[in-house]
Amino acid sequence: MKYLEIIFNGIWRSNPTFVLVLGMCPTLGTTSSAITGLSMGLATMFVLMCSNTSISAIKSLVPSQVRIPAYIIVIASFVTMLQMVMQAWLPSLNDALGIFIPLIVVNCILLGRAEMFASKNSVPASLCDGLGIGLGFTFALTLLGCLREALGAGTIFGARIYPEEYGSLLFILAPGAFIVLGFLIAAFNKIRGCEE
Amino acid sequence: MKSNMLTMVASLTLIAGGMGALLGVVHDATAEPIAKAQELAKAQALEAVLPPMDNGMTKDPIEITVEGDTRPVQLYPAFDNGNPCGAAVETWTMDGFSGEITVMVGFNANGEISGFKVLQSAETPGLGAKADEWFRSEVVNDEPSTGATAKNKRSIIGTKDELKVSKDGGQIDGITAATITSRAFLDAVNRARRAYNQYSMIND
Repeated sequence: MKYLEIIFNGIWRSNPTFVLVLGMCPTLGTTSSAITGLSMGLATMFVLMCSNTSISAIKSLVPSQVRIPAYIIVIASFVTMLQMVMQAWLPSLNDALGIFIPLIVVNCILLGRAEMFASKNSVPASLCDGLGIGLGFTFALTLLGCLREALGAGTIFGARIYPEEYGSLLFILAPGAFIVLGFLIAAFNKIRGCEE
Repeated sequence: MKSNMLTMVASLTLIAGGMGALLGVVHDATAEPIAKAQELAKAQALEAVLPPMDNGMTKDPIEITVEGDTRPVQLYPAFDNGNPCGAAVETWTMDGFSGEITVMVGFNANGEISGFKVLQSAETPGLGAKADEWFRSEVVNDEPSTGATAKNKRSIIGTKDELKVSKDGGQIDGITAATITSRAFLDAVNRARRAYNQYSMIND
């Protein structure tokens, strides 16, 4: 039960995008379509689960003065592995996400979860936290990508919902990302406020 | 853990060594698939831009540096029963709206552009990113009021000359609201054209 709560917590109560407002660079950069948003979320989730698990496993070996470089080594290694795997088996996705894959290293969600959660909790709990936060990030990015693609290009996951001419290009570009994100955070806060 | 100089150095060394070993394993496992994937992407690009030919083409490119440039383009010569029958040129431009664009451009035996494929670009989605479809679309626009049909001037397929966008007095219509990308794209195509001309002069 405790583990389910940790996962749910990551998706909802401390959603990295809507509540913690962390990792804004990939959030704004990769959500011009639903599929890139979803893939970026899943890629980050994979690294987050690996890094959280290993950091929790080695936490007793790391003196506190050098913990940050130790965490960064772990995170950077997993990101590099992810990139090699994607180049080998998912080259088109790797091209679509481009520079944002290596930039997962400096995504503050990863270091934030390592510092706040994995370095203080058990291995299974940290794995669940990685899964939960990762799912929350994926959920946020996919939702943002769906809305921007629908408003900007008239498609969702490439499936047309209305003719392209009526789409507003603004939503594909960076300002549209800010606008949609702002409305989503407002809506999210409203729903969470009603709950509590 | 008690921390002093020794434990700090030891733990960082241990972690770096462990992660390094893991990276090595993944690298070994993926090196071959990565090379294969890159080869396949290149082969598909070559196939997409070149006219059909009887026998395969040489996979080894010739490097040609166009006059005024410092960076070469890669030219893949195509052969039909041993006779040269055009080439594919992997060309580049640095003038894109977001920097570099690389394009594979195919030329048939007559020196006409037989096809092209944008290999790499970071142009604005929805605007400049349309280059790959825009410059090959041969849409016929019907004019209902006059009954006339007019061909658009977007396509570069079949052209034999240096290209310019119509805004600059040229013959090709640029992408709507993406003139910088259009100019850059044609710059890359013209670079390929010049490289191809140099190549065919040597061969004649």
